[in-house]
Amino acid sequence: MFEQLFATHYPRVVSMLVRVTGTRARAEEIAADVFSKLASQPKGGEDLLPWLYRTASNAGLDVARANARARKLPAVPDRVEPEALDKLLQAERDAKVRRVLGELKPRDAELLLLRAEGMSYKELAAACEVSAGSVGTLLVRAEAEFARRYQARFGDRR
Amino acid sequence: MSMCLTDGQLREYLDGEFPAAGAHLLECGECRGRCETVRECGVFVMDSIRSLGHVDAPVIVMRRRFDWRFATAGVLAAGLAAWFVLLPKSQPKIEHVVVSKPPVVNPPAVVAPVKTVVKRAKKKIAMPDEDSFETAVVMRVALGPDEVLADVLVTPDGRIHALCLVTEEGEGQE
Repeated sequence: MFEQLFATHYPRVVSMLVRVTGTRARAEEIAADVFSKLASQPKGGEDLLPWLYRTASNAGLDVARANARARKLPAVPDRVEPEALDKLLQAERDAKVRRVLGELKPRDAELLLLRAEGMSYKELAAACEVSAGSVGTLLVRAEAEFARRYQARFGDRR
Repeated sequence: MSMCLTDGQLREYLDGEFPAAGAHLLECGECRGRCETVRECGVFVMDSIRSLGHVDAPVIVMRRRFDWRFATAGVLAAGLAAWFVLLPKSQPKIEHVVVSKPPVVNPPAVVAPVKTVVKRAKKKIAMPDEDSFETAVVMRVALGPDEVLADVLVTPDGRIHALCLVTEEGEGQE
């Protein structure tokens, strides 16, 4: 049962964690830790899905918050490559998004991350332990909260 | 006109989960305006998160573990099957036998065996003592130089109470 759960959800968990943490190595490290805890859970099966995604997203958001606090500006190299500015701007924007995600309520952040992974409403309801009928309402509230915080902190949506 | 839609229903409509909302949106300008706001907000948030990067799904190679339970069960089943096959059968095997006519053989002549039986003579020869007694032993003895067989009845006090001669006779000679 664990093997099936691992094969089905590990790629999605890693993908979600890469977005949150920014590095694949860190994402796989967290995912391995979460699945290791999952294997030691006494109960098994689909009941563990909410626990799995909540634990993974919380662990990822913790890393994102820690990175935001300890963030240092990268040293400006002597020779600037043509695409360096674009990369720098993208990194700056990613840092803003991760920071806002870290400020959201854990369930809101989890919903947004899993929706961005392409989960359907049914899958979201199962993973976040909410009724399928309330997914739309929860999503729109989480999106509104994200946009409000982003604008409040950074001024615009760019 | 039906009731106006909530933001949650508009989100569901935009995600294709609530297509029935389309009929109301055609006739309600206010809901259309809110729907556009919800869509813009959703696009901004999802684009922001998706721009964080995406990784290809890691390849997971599930190596099936060797299950000792199945292996043990298999070995036991094979052993049981071998035991049944190699077990010596208690019932005789059915074999194809070529039945041929047996040769005619003259039966051997039957020769009746001559039996020699020892019969006790029914005649009481001697009765030395007529006293009554409770227990006695019958002993076969040979009497005289001709060693004539006789049964004697001897009581515990050693006295002989009766004597019967024993003669050998052929069964057919009686």
